Amino acid sequence: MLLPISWLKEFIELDQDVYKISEKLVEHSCEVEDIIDQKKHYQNIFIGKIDKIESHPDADKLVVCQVSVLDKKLQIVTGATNIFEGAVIPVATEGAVLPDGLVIKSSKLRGLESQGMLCSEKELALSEEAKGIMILDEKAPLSMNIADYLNINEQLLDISITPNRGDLLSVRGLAKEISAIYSNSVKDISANFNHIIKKEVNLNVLNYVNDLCNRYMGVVIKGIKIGQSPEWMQKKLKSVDITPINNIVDITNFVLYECGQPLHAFSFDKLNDAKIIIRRAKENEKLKVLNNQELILNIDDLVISDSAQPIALAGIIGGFDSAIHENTVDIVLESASFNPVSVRRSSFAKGIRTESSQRFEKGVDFYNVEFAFKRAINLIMEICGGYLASEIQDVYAAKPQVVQIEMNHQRVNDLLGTNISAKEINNILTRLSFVVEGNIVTVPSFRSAEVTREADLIEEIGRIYGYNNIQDVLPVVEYFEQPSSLSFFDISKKIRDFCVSKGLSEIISYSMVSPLEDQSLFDKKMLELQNPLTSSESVLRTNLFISLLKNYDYNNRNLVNYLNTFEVGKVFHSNNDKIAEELRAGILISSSITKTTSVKASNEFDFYKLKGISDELLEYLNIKQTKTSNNDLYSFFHPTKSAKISVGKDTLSVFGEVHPAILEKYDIKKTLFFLEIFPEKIVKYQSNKKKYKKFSLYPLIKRELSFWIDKNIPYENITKIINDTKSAYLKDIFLVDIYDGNKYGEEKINYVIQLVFQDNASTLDENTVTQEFNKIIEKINNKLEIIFA
Amino acid sequence: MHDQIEILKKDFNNNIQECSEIDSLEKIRVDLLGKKGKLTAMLKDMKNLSIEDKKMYGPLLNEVKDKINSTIEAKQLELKKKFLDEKLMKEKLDITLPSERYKAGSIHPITRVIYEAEQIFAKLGFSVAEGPEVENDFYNFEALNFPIDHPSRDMHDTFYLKTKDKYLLRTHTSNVQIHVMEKFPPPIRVIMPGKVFRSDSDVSHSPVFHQIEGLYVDKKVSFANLKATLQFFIKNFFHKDNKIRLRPSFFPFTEPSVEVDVECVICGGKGCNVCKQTGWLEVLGAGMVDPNVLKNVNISPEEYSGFAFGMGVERLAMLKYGIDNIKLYYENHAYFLEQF
Repeated sequence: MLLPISWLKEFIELDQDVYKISEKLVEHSCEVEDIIDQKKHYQNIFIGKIDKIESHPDADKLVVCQVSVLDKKLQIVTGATNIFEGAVIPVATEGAVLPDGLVIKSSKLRGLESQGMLCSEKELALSEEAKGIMILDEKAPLSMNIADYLNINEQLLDISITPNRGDLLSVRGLAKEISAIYSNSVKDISANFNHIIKKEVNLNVLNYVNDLCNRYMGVVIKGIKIGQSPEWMQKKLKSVDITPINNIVDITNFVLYECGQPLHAFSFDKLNDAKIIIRRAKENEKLKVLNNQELILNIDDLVISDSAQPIALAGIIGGFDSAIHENTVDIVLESASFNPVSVRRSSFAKGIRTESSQRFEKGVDFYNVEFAFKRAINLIMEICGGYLASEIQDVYAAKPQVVQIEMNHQRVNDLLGTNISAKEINNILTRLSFVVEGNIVTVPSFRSAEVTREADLIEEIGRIYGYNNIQDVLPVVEYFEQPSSLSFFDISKKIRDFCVSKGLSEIISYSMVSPLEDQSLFDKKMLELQNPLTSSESVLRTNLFISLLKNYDYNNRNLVNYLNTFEVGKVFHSNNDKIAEELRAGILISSSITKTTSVKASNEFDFYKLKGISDELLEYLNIKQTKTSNNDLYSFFHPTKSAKISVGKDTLSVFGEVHPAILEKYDIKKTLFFLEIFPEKIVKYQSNKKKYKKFSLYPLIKRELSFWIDKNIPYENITKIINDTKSAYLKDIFLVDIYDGNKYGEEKINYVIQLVFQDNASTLDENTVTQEFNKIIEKINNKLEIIFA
Repeated sequence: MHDQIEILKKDFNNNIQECSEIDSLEKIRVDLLGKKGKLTAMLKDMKNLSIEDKKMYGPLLNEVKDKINSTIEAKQLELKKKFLDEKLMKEKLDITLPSERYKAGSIHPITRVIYEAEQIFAKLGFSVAEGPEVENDFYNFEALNFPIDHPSRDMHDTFYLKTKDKYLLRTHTSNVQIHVMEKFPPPIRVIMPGKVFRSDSDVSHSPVFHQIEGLYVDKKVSFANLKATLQFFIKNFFHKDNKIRLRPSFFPFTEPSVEVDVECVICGGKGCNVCKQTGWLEVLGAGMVDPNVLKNVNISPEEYSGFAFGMGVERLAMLKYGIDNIKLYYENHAYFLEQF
């Protein structure tokens, strides 16, 4: 909302400039987005007259002018060719700063002093093109500031109004607010009304929908003369970016801006009869509106109609056919209050937002409907002539209830944490047009939609008192039980710590991804956005692989191919129309994790190193007793070089080499490794109690075991058998060598396993160890087909 | 005999002095003390001597033997040290060659800000809560006092999902307020960090961004408490005594509502490009919990009051680290990540 200061000052006497007013508004009322000071760029630019033009002795293309301005003679050198002796022109004098930032100061041009600059329209930002120096009317008053002469001297505030303050969407409304801040009085305009009514027309207003229109005023005005509106009105409208059209339309717009009440004028000759019906539109009813659009209406739309057809989409936009035209003589003037929700829905559905709809959406004041109506009639009579040709129709079901709130001064101070006196509280409310009687506060009608409770009054008191005047009081910290169960914050932190210690960089990605990239990779049902910004961000990711891969791709295309990254974030899918949202952590590795910045070659990363990260991470998170099985979750993994780790039915970790076909698709030359862990599952199995276990310092005794076995038997089966013997002295099992020779055929593989024995209480003797060792060998031999090497 | 000993001692001393290698030292030892060594022979000859000579030369020879042994040992240590020193000196490196680094990873600046905020608020007794990112209308809007078809919803450009029940991507972290208050009776003191979504994208807006929500509900919580808490946070977060400024604003779920500016951390309030010459930077929105919100979660507004606030994490990170483009956060360029 643009507020011209000169317009504001017609309502209040205020010896404050635009900057001070802005500060006060920001502190007590609403946000100022911009301060527009049109004159700012025209300081020190005045109207001057060229007395004499001589050629420059040292430059063919320059001339030397003697210019009269501000009772002085200035010598100005210019290259302009359209000037002549006697020309009246804008002169930028010493100290002027042109709109493009050029600072004017005396200087020498080819040896001759030049004490200013003659300006073109372009240099004054008045037009795009420069057609030489701007030549002014010869009667233009010499030495006048150019901005004053051209009437570009307005100061405006661009104010952002919150949805709860519809009452501020007018100059008059803002004037009331500002006067309350300054404790000033408003010089209000009058809507005194004393016109003779000739009952030529029987205007009949029928409101079929009291719930959607709680007041409708209409009158027929005859004998008006369409023309341009007066200059003062045009100037005001232009200053707030409204294009003047004709006097009737301009008056409705002017009153809307001045009083905040939207009005509409119909051309009476275009109506079928003198009936105004407020009703819901019929299904598929058509209405061509002012912006030339043909609307197809439905039952949710509210229309103004004559007895035959709609003539306006109520509160949003007028009909094309019933618009004021140059030959209009008789009009119907409307001022009404329409239901905010209805206007908002229609306006959204039709994609039409107007100054009018925006005000109705926020609600208009019942009493202002009448005030603005009368104000507009007065202006029409004054400017366009004419007379009232019907009685004023004023249709409403009931006057709105007066809002009264019980207020307790102590509660006000308790909530604000202040000690404001009752007198001051009452004074603040009175300034804001509230009426205070004892502990009952009556809300002015123009605030009654949103000030309905004590809390609302407290806000009014707080903001006018000044939030910055309230003394800080730190709350006392006392211990109480906290809702930590609603959070995966701690485990996320641990995962991040682990990843950072492994040299991984955290990334954060959009949760929205492309369905194309997604579909080729995942089988879960994706959640689709109804209104995505772009098609490449139209579904929610079902896991973190796509985010990390896309990031690798981005960096790879920017010639950074060494990055190892991780992300901790939510993934989503739908499950029988239920939303499944889950926290995951993903790791993408492109280079050896121990990669250094050295020139020396580093160790190649591989599946087992990846598995090591998974094992270490799970152990770090206090997970024990896991099971390793084939990956059956994601198809973006290498079919054999991938696995998952689980406990019971829950997958805790899944990892593997990225499928070469995907790398090829993204033109990635390196082998990538991906790992995803499932924190929400992990917390179910975390043994959070760390407990010290005594350890033994007695000697370790090692025995090695070498045998051939079928390749297809998972190594894990062997260790399981060994562990299942529950040997009291077995401390550790190490796989020390694998030999994949052909000694017993292609299907056999040779393992060398080292078993480590130790006792907690004494030094083990060889016999005991041999017994234990033999027991284990026997178990393996019984359960598996092996050939001892 | 005496002369023999003197000659032997003299020879030994000469040899030892000249000896510069472990091998020749060993040879000296063997020559004297080996099985066929000169001194060994002399000791063996002792048995052929008279008792008197034995008494005279026995201790003398033994003394010479001990002396030779200890001298050889000392020489051995000396030589070993010498050789080690020489060897080590030959292993000289150019210590200015590039290092072989084990890269430390990095935490995203957004996470950093969240962690830091968590630590600061923990000092005031705030714990952490989190909530869903896919949300329904009730938690994101209705329970927070955004009526259906109310212009207050215009402030939130919302992504909706194509689901049978109307789900959306939360537009703020305020939804967690409702989840927390539904589950836990007051007193409540939590911060609620997380990802939020708005269908809005331009140079200064990202459709995905982060907020840290705060909520404190107890008996007699006041606006003065809110102000002090925010001032405490700003002071600890920027490590400066930057003033804050509160401006009236509107959020459906707080009443009164304020927007909070901090004195520009770049220019100190003098006016610069970052603060658009105003000297102030908008960092968060706050207010006293609206009585309707408390009612919606069955907390009596007569008995309890509370404050809530929400801050933009990207904004805080921008001011803290001087990040000048919101796109950088989500591009995750290596050169960006490696700086944190």
